[in-house]
Amino acid sequence: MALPVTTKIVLALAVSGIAVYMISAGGSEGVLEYIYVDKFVDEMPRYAGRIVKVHGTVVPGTVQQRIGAAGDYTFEVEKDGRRLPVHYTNMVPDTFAEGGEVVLTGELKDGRFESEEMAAKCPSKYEEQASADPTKPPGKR
Amino acid sequence: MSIALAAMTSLLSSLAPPLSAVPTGALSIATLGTATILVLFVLSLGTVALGAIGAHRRSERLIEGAVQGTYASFGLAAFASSLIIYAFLSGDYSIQYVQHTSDAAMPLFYKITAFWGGLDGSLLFWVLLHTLFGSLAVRANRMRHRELIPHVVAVLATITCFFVGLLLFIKDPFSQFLLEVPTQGKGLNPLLQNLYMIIHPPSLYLGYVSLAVPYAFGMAALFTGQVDAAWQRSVRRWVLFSWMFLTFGLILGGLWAYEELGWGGYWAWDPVENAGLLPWFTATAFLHSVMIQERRGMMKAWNLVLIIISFLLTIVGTFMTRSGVVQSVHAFGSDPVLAWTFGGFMLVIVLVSFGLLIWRLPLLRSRGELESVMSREFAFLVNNWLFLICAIFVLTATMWPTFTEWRMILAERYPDWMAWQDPGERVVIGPPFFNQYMRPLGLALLLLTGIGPLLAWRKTSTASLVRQFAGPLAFGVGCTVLPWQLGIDSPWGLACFGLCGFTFWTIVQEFYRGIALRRKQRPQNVLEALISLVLRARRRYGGYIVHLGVVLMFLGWAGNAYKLEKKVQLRPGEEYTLGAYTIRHEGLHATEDWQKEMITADLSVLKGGEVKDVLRPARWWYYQLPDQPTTEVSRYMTPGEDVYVSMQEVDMTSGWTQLSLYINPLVNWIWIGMAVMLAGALVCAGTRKSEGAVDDA
Repeated sequence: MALPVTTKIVLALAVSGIAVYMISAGGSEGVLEYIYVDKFVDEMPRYAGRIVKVHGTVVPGTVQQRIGAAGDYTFEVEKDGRRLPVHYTNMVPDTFAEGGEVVLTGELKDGRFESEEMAAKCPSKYEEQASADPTKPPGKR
Repeated sequence: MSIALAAMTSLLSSLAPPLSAVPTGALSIATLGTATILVLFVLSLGTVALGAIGAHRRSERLIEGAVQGTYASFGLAAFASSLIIYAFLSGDYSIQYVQHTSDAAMPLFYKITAFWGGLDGSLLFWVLLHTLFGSLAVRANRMRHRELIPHVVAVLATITCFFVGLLLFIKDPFSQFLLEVPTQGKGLNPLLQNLYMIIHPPSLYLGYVSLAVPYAFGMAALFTGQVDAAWQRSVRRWVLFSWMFLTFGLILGGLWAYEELGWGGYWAWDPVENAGLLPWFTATAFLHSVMIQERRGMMKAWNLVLIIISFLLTIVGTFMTRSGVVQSVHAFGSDPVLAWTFGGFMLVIVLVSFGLLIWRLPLLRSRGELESVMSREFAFLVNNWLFLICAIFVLTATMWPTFTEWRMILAERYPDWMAWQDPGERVVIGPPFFNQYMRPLGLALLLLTGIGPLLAWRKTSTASLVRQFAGPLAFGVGCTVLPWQLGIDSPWGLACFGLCGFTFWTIVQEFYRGIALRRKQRPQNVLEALISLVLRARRRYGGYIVHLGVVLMFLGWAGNAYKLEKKVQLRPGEEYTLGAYTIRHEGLHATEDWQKEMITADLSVLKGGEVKDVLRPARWWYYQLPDQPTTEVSRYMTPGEDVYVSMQEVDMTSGWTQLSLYINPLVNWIWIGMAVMLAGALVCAGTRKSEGAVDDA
């Protein structure tokens, strides 16, 4: 004896109902546009007032930290010569370094990218490692 | 064995000069290694041919040749692996791979494990494991399933060919520096130099690679048309074995992230993590649905589909993580050649596997039929759908950013074709999106974990429903109300607690009833009855133990609903209170060893005015990578919660210390749950053949 047709119909309706509900109610929190710095700088007005992710390289020599505040940094990120000033207010990840690639989440305010969330390229075993320069002194104190 | 081989190698290389035609005047490890890989490639091609022709002509001699070829390919892979390990140990920096992933200062242990520390070596490691598993599977089954074996051997050797081909033509781990040979190695990233990172990747690898064996048996079943339960009996334990290693590897990865990275969490839905999770979903689904086939002769085609998809997902996962196709915070070099090669291989797998499946569909008809929704079959069916939905959702969401990127590239290249739509932007998909969908799916699976075992095969009577569900429901409600009374107001958290309670009680009830029954039959104390109960039906009770582990893990996740986190700056003598705990800064000290400089903070953890522990989070500056200090987490662990502290910034002169404080409730139950799951899986794996009939009664 197989399942009665009515049971099958009820099941099909229930499954599709749940699916439709989940998709409509779920929304798209956590889905963000991802833009490289050069494009962001070229089309800046387009992104004003929207939370986006920006990917670029931290320009060496631009990182400044306000000592005494809980993670308050300014620096610039760059791609193909286009630079974007960033104000970052949070802890930086271990892998954050001048010249390293970062992905910042935030929005444009007064020509500056305000961000509280950063992903710095994570070291992976499957990566050609950046060679360490032995002449550099150990990190800041 | 590898030591013996290494010794042999050194002997060979000392004997080599007169034989050699290499310009440097010596038969180097690198040359020998590349030659070994070449021989392995030819041998694998031969094995494919012997297996295929042997099966076609039913020639015992050819088939035996193919079996021997399988063993020999393991021998060659082991030899090549010991060569690369020898190169690491002897510091042969003329080999690029050795130079990139090791240095002379690394401890011996890390030098050996650097073997799988990079892309090229990890592919060789893949081949080593694949040929090892292939040899074991063939050895165990060559008498029992004579018809299947030549096909199994041919499929396994084809997979070997693909990976050895990658080594040979694209990623040779033995390739050398052409001009100037460096005298020093670059070393392995300090973040990766810890015990978890040594165990976690190989564990995932074992799970990944071993899924090729069930796939080979499934394909052999389709080739020969012997699609009944025989192929599955050989395969079920393999899948269980793969499943155990995947579980272990995944959770260990989480534990590594939790203890090393210092952001207070353990899972971020990163593509690399997801890649490990995908085959886990389908393997878990298979382990459940295979029972329906055994009991009711249903779902034959479906089980084959799950095996094919599981294997395919291991290749997809490797493709995602190794080719640079998917953006990830784990930085992978982008490699279009590798991406296309993998893409082609996946296409072949899909076409061949599903082509065979469709061809054999007439043989795969069900014997039984679904009779009621109140049956265990139906619960398993829903479980399978949910796991498959999880896999499809995670795969799509992981690949989505890549799709949007491809859309943009297409729009740039072919503006006319793509004019009908806005090329849009690349998007990224963050953890909140995954959590939104995976939370309800996970809870639905937890509910099924409770319901499934309570339902009877075929149809459950109303009286039995009441008898089975009354206790668990009451306990589940209690587990929802109690935390609510204690002030937890997150609906997800409460639902998770309630379902954990419900499922926990169903398991307790099963054990209680089983023990009571046994004690009625013969005089035994509770422990004796428990042990004999479990041993008599290992698969059933092992499964319950796995489920208990699942409940404990969900309990750990439920704790997320009321975790606390705070970033603070403290100077020595200052304190901060978070939740029930007060953290007091006792001072800083700087130390150094031969690898690094360290600044450590002493932080007292107080609860109710009493010092519970002194935490010592630190920042380490490796001489090798002075720009990237590492964060050393310190935590105070209790069954109820973790007090987790990481130090973000520190200034030695003023004593100013910037800390991230987290209180993670119940988090340790995740690791305990993992241990319970693995213990349960071991109980299941110990099934004796004679037991099959009494199981799952």
